[in-house]
Amino acid sequence: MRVNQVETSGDEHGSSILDLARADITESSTKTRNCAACPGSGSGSGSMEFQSPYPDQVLENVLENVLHFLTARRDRNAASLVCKSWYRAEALTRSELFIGNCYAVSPRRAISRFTRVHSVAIKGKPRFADFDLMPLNWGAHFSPWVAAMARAYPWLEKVYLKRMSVTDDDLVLLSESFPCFKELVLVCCEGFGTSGLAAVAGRCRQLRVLDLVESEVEDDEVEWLSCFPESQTHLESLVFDCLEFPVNFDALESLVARSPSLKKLRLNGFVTTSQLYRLVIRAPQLTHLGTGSFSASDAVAAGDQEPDYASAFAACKSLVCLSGFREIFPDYLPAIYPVCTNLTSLNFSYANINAEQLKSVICHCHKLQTLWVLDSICDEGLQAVAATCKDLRELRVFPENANEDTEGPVSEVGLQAISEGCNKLQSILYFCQRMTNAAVVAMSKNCPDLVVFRLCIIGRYRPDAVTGEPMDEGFGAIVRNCTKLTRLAVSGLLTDRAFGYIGQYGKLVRTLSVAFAGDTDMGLKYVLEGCHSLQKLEIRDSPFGDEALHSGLHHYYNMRFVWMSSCKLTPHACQEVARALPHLVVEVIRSEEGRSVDDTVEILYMYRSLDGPRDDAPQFVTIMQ
Amino acid sequence: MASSSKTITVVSSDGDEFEMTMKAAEQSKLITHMLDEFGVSDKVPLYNVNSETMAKVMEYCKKHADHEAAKEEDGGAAIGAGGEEELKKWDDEFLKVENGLLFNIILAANYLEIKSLLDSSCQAVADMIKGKTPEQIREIFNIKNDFTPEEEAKLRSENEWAFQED
Repeated sequence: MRVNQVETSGDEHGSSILDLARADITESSTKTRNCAACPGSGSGSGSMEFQSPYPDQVLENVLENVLHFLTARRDRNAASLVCKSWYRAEALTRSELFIGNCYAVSPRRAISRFTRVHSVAIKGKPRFADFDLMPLNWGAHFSPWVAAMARAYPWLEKVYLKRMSVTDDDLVLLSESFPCFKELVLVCCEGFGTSGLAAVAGRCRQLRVLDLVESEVEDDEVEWLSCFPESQTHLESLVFDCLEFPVNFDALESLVARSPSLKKLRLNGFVTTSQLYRLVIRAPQLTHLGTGSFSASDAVAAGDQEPDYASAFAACKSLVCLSGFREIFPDYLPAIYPVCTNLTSLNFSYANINAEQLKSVICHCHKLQTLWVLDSICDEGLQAVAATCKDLRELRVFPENANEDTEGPVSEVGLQAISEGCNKLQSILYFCQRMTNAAVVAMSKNCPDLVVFRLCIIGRYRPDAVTGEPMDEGFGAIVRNCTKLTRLAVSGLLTDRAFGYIGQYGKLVRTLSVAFAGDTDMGLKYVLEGCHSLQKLEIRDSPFGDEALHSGLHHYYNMRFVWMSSCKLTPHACQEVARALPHLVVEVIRSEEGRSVDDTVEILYMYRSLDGPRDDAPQFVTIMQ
Repeated sequence: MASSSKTITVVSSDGDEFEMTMKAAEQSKLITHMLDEFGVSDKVPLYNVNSETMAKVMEYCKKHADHEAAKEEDGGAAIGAGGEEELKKWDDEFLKVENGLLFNIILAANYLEIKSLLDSSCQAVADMIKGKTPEQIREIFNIKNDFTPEEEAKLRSENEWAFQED
């Protein structure tokens, strides 16, 4: 069959080499290839006329070799759609599997398509679960995934989980099933304890990375740090700053001493400053350090000689990222001055330091790109940041007291200063109790590279603190002027006009968060009709109802998820959505306090799924059908 | 083993003969094995590679052989610190040829077992795929879409719903 001859004749590129589809169609593959290599279809003499005795297997190998160099997910997905043989080759060569929503696809489907996976990333619960808005035991269990992978991926090396429920048994199975296992990263996970960690530490002899980030870990009183092999380890990263109980320090010190490749070490708040000292002098090669408590040692009270913290830090010539400071004793701050000039990332979000104390540090930090702070530093601290950190890309300002009644230590003044000093800013998260449109507009103009803008005005429906107007114009300016914006969080007093702006200008916005804001259903309608790129929508305590929900039917299949809690939805409207969109899983969730008032929906969480509704839904979840 | 000043002759599928030094020949595992087995006096037939492709492969092998020799001589002084980068740039330019020839180079590198050339040329093709839609990829490589519209739509959904996140 010469199906492709028409296409190749006169075509300059005329590549039959990667057109493996023909291998499926033809009987005599050599013959067809010769026929397709028509004279005149090559650019010069001889370019297409070689006799290709290469069997199909060779060509498939070559395609696999090419695809090996394709790493970006989008590119791999595109390649898989080219034709059937490319689909097969891509499936064989995809080594990093990414599952954006664990309930959008079954483990069985994933592992039957991709058979040679070395690295898996899975995301589970929606983000609002971090704020205790999702009842316990909702789901996102790792168990079915690890069970399937234990059979299918013997060469698995890396597992990254975000917002998943992980048990000790899961971790034991993991440690027993994957002899090449190297990296475990658990972000915002829960359900496991030190027994599970002990299994991983003890059995995964190739382990390089063990990172526990913002996860809830049970203290089963198993000394997991003692379970690492006694010989030198391959550890490059050990992060456990979220652990809320002590670890065995001797075991930790010994582990650090026999881990020459260790670059990242983040300690929890139970590690004292003098213990920190002992670790830092053993690991001057560190690039990322979480300092633990950084609190005043007993020596201070006793008036005893303290170790030379500053020279210990000074010996860390490669340190670029500093965090921790869980119970900071500000007098120790000078110890970190020697490393400040090289710092690109500084996380002070647990350090309740004032403006002066921050200034003493920040004045050295000219290379800083990422800064997380508490609002205890006040507008004055932010002004100091603006004056020094000209390379700043990401800023997060967290509230020390998320109190609605106070004036708050940071305001529009700090935001304005940052916008004027840090023109390269790409991402900002800013909590405050007062704000003005003017400052937000200024930021929209001064920081054109903004990709993420999240403004959280604590207190409900707060207007512009100076003019009393809604915050519409500020957010409008952000979507209008920040042409690269993909993530937006809004708050304060907002009318439908604000949402109209978002729908009109926010064409690249993929994630939108709305909390305690909004006026009528029109607002949400504008967003659902206008934001063509919208993937993730999370709304809480906002006055949007059934009509607004209905207006998004055309778009929900294009979205990763929609979360609406404490809004004005009825079960009937949710059911209508479920009936209109059969591949959408529409979960109506009752919070555990269980106000079973039938005509309000406490939580709506909906997402598309290839494999139908899940079968592990707890009793407080109703899947609408 | 023959000295590096000796040459051998390879023959393309078009019947043309090409001379290459031993050092250049050593870039290809296949040629090296054939020489080990059969000696250097005969001409080595490489009937899977046409003359146009052969000429390019010769050029590559010579360049990389010269680079290696220079490294060995002065302990790297002749190459200097930027030597590897320069070679990479040369490789990139070398591979800027039209697609038909590029694909033939891949197949030749695969057959002749010249790993570095295989990797570079496959990378070059992968770079052509990056950022493209399936339609664009089909056009570049002149590939027929053998999915039915239904199959394609289903796969697209599967990719977007399950296996893609930005």
